[in-house]
Order: sequence, then structure tokens, then C-alpha cells
Amino acid sequence: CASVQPPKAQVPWQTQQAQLAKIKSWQINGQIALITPKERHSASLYWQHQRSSDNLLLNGPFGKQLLSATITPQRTVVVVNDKTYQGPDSNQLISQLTGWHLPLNRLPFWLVGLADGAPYQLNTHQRIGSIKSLDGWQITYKNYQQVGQYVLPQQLEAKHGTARIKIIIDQWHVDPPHE
Amino acid sequence: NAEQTLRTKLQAISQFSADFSQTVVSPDGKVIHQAYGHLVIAKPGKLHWQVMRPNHDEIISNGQTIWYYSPIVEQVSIYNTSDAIVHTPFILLADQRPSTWVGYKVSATKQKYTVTSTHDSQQPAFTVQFDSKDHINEFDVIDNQGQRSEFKLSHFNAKPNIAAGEFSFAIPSGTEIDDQRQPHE
Repeated sequence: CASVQPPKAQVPWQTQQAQLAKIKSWQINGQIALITPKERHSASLYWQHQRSSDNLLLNGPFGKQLLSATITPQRTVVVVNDKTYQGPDSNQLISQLTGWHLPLNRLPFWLVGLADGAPYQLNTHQRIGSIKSLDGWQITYKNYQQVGQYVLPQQLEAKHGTARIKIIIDQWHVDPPHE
Repeated sequence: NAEQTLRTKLQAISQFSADFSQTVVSPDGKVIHQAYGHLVIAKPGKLHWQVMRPNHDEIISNGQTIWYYSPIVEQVSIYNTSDAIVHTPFILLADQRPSTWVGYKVSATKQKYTVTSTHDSQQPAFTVQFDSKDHINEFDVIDNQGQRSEFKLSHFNAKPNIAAGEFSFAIPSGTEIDDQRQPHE
């Protein structure tokens, strides 16, 4: 089975950051876990990021769709339990519908390993080890993987107060940036 | 009729094990998830579903109780098999008692049978396909959003050796227990 490739030689962070910032569209298949003191949920995760839209699908064990969200700067459309909802703010809509706090507008940056302006610390491999956002999110990167010319996160955790989100990325697909 | 034929075919398979490969296709045709694992089914209503890759989720039913163990959240959710029927069409594969099949209708084209619920629109429809030896080679689950989960079976074994604790779940220490069983009067 496709094992996780350890990253190659060390490249200065500024170079990696510039390279990652050029990526305009990608897709991931993985797993997400949402853990709060009251409840725990797990789902398989599909995320398609494009320049001006994000499409997120969460599925149960037999492939039943639990949640789908299509996010654009103008509005977000969410389907949960076969009902469709719309709103201008993806974070607010998702938390209203599910009670989960998912920072959907920033996750595309964190998933790729970029801090999007928040304070961060590098790990020993010149990649982001942790991010502390000004509104209380703490992201830690557990490990990375080689994906063609890129080194991208394979497992990360996001904490906010007592809520914890674990994301494992089983498969990356990065569309080549067209200069 | 189609339901009778399907139940007869399923009745003939008292128990089986197989490897499965699961492909989930979104309503607009994108492959959004792939998983591989092993399943064991025995009558009535017994199931052991072990995902091997990419995660290690496990679903076990002993006919009365279903355990859904998700290692990523270190939690096991427990359901009554009768309540959880919405959860898994596999219980229908493993249980041909008339009471279990009340509220389902079956249509068929050649070796492919489609089962839909007549009483619960939330419940996904599913299709079962048989090979020339009347072994199940594929089944698909289609939810109301048009999302399809295709399970292809291989190494179908109609005489599996079933381990003693095959259909009960030993809860690992430190696991969060999420008991969803509604008490039955």
C-alpha cells in the first residue's frame, strides 16, 4: 500500500513558503475528528480548494453524506440531513447547523501548511510546527509528507478552547500552478 | 417476485467473509473516498466490518447490539441493531427474517437487485449484485443526495471459520463510550 514518503532534504522556510503560496488548487482525501468534552465525531473528509471556492464533503462509514459545504467569498451553501441552508459566513452557518466550530475560511491555508498572517513557529525541518491565531486557534503539525515537488502536512490538530479537531490527510492532489 | 428471489439467494448464503474495496463517488461524479477492509457476515444480523485502510474503523453487530468503533476519536458508539438499521444495509444482507424486511421493496434487473425503504426517506437505497455462483460480488449504497458508495467484494468465502469473539467487541481501555441505545419498553 502507498506508504507515507518522508520529506527530502531541507529547504529554507522562505523558499518553501513562496512555493506553497503558488498553489492555487488542490484536493485532499482524509479523516477528520471533532472532539469536545461533550461529544466526539469522526468522518471521512474530502476537500477541494480552488482559487475562489472550496467544496467540503464529510461522509460516514458506509459513504453516507453527513455534510456538504460549498464556500465562495459571496456565500456558503451547506447540505445537512438532506436540507439545504445558505448564509454569507461559512463558520457561523456550520456552527449554527452542527454546533461545530470549523474555521473554514482559514483551514485551506492551515491544511497546506501556511499561517495566513498568524504568528507561527518553525520546526526543525524549516516547516511550520505550530500556529497561534489571534482569536485563540492553536494549530500543531504532527507530520508532513512528500507530494511530488511539495512537502505538505499529513496530520495536524487544531485546538480552540476545549474543542479539538484532528485531521489526517491520506491523499493529496495538487494541481500544477500555471505561471 | 424480486424480493422473494433476493431473499432466497441471501438465505442460501448462511454466512460469508470477503475483502471489500469501497469507492465513494460524489453526486457530481468525483471519487471522494476509497477504503479497503474485510467483512464477516453470519445469520441472523451478525456482522464484523473492519476497515484496514486508510483508517481502522470497525463495526460489529451480534444481532442485538451494534458497536461502531472509531480509533481516530477513541470512541465506540453503541446502538440497538433494530434501531440502527438505518445505519447499515448490511443488516438486511445478514438477516432475512420477515420482520426485518418489512418496509422494503425490491426491484431487479438480471443479477442486480435494488432495495429501497418504503417507510424512511432518509434511508439510502442499496443494490446487491451476484456472480454466476450466486455469491455477492458488489453492493452499492446510494444516499438521497445521489452520493454512491460502491463496495466490490473479493475472496468471497461461503464457509468462513468464525472466531469465538468475532461478533462481539472488546472495548479497549480508555475508549469513550457513546451509548445510543434507546431503552425499549
